Amino acid sequence: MRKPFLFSSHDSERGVSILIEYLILSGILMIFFAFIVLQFNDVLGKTPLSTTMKNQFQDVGNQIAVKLTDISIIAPENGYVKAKIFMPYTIGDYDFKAEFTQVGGEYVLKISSERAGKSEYIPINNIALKVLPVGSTFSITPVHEIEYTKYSHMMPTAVALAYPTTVEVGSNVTFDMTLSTGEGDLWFRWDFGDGSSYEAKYNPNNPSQSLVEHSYSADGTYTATLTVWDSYGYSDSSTINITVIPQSQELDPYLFATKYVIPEVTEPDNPVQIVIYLRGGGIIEQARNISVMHVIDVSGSMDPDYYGTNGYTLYNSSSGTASPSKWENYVNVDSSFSSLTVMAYSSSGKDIDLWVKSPDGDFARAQYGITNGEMYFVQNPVEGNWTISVVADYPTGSDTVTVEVEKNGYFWWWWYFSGTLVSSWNFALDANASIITFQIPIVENLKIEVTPVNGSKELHLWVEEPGGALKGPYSSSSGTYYSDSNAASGTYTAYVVGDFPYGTQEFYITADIAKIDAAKITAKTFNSFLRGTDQVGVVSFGGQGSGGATPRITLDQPLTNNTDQANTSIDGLYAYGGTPLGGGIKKAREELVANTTTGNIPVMIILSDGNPTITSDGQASETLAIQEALSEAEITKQTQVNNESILIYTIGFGSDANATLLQEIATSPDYYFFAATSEELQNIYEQIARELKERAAINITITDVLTSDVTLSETPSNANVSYVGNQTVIQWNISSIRINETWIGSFEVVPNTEGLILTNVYGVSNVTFIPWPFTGVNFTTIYLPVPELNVTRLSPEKVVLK
Amino acid sequence: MEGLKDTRGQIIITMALMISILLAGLSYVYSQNLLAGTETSITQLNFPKNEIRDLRRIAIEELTDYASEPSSFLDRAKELDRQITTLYALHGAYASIDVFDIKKSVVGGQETITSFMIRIVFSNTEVEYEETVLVQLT
Repeated sequence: MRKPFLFSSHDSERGVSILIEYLILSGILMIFFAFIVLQFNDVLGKTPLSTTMKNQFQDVGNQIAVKLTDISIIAPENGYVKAKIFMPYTIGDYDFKAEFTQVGGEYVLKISSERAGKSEYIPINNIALKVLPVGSTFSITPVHEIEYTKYSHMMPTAVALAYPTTVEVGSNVTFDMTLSTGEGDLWFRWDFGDGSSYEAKYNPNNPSQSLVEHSYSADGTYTATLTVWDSYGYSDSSTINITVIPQSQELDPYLFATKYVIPEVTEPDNPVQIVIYLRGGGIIEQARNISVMHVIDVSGSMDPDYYGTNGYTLYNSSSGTASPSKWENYVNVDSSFSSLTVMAYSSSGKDIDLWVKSPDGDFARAQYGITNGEMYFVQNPVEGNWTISVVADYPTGSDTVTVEVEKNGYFWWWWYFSGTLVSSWNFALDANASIITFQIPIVENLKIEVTPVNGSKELHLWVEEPGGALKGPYSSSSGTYYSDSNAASGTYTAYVVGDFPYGTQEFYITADIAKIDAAKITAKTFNSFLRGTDQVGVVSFGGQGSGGATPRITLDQPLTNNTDQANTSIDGLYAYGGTPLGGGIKKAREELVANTTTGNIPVMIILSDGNPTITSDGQASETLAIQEALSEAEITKQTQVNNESILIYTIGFGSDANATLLQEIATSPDYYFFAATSEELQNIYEQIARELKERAAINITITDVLTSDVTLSETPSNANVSYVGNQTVIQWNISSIRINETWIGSFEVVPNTEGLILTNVYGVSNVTFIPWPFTGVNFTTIYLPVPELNVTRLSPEKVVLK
Repeated sequence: MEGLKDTRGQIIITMALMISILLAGLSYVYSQNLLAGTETSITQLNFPKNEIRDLRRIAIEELTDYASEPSSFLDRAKELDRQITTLYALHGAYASIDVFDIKKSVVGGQETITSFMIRIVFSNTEVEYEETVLVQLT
């Protein structure tokens, strides 16, 4: 075989062959490697990077969208929210940008990287914001935040009020702008309609300074205009008509009614207040005088001396929390203790209580009394730390207390033999009483008692009398209490001490007086409302003799203009015996018929705490006594004094009062009242005193019918709310409004639409009442005005990403 | 023959290097994927919307209640502010309620508060909130 020219040996040929083989193999491998690299770059580089960017873009986008949602939940009407956004500088080495934009009419949040050519879109259409967020932020900037802002200004609202609205020539009218509202400082000007005006700055800290008095020199109707403006230059005006009559013309009592919406300009969904204003007017000097007879039950049930605790009524009360004055320490008990003895005693003899708590949590009061203290003893005590507590059971002052702990002491019969002293302490222990004071007038019976509330820990009560004497202790667990007959007037100081080692105890403390005392106090309070031209008298009905079955019906005070004299007569009343109510009514009627001053309104106020028990002729029959009371009441109602019917008010005092009977006795059920306590009794007497003054209107019904443009957001107090179709009807019923008395009803509504809307329906929104002089049943109607509410977007909200 | 063996070793080393690089790249990509979704979750958990709503509710309800007694209104409002600040500080946030622009009326013969404004402020490391609320009482 011929050898190739270029190869000189077999090895050389093989070498070349291997070289070529190597080159070919390398080439194939490089191609394969390049292919693998490209594939791996796609599979393990580009694809995962794309997924990562998509995920992380969505994460950043969702974070912004979630924050946007959270912001929309708390978005203030007037303020801002700033929330930080957390973004990585780069994702997969690519920086990126977040921006709010619109795509195909949809609001979206776009996260994009221009270099990577990647974008993600997060829809934000459903987020409850009224505006499209704007702005953008780049990942490479150090701080990112989303900011919500909305600033609104409350426009001023002028509320023009004046009283009286009908006035004589030359008499003053008070012009009141103090219901006007606005933001910041407010100024106001009254143009009185007669060419004169008044201008000033409203002082909210002293609103009385903003009341303006003005009189008119000629009769006629004047329109007074109030203008209110703020420091931002916004203003509002309101008017009120003033009727001026000649001086010689009589001015009968009348009722004035109007209505306002505050503020008049608001943003959608913001609540506004609707205010209905009523005021009685007229010449108060024409108010009539009254002749009133107090008819007071002085039966034995009005006095605790005869009727036990049921003869008391609450005069005053308070509450508090008692925490003990306590010293605490512990002693370690080990196996060397065959017994444990703890002794505590005070140096000057103040009462202390010793409590011991074992390591397993049981605690017990010391079992033995020792001189000035107490001793606890136990055999084979549990090993561990025993807690020792000493509680001060005294209301004031301090004492030095010694506590000694012994081990291995023992009893032989009743004799204690001391063991080894283990520990001893010596310390000062101050009192820690809750102190409550009561101002008490002179009363026949006084009772002060403390009761635990929300628990039953032991409380001790001491009472320091006005003279300085300290009485007590009275224990809450045993039901003892402080009581005194013919108690002096002055300050009674109650000390409430917690007699327990752990925790605190809430308490309720009461000062009760005899019902007869309460009747006297409140009748005298009523008399303080009377004028010198009014008359007052007193009739009492009770019993006397053995068993109190003999009627005691006395005219304690004939009708007089002298209230001091009447009060002295009231002070002289005492309780005893049965309840001849009918006789009391008869006696009072006879006095009213005999001595009522011409022109006065005859009035009888009957106070009773129970059923009638005896008749005026001494028959001890409850049935007959009730029949007599009803009969005498009917006769009284039919009796005319100076061509006036006698008005009968009745007051049931205490839970034993016969409400049904007293309602029947009263002029009408509205003239019956119930008082459970002395304070309620006083309020009733005050209410009757006010009602007996001249009234401007009675049986008043205020009806406001809301349009469907507003929704009632808060039910007004003391009003009936009903819904008729898509209208809301709000109604108040008031028995009367007196001259110069103001009644204000207000409630909150939320507008349902934007624009200029009406808040109520004219005509059906009105005030009906029986006008003075209250004869017949003809009602007068005042139609409430229809205030307009301007619902507009005063300032837009803004959401910016930056 | 010796040279041939060395060459094949180089290939093995080259392939090992390539796989290592790919695995490193893969782990980097995977670690980035692990982090995805965390910010959204943190936001959902951390945004103090309930704290702010509670603050707003307490401010308006309590202060409206206090306004029935004009003489003690400001003192009680300041005490409430102090308590709110202390309470929120315990939870790592600043909060305050500042009452101002109190308007009073004497309609009806008695001095009553008719409106007041409250500046409510809340701030923590992530969110800053401020609102001025008008409370109209009449």
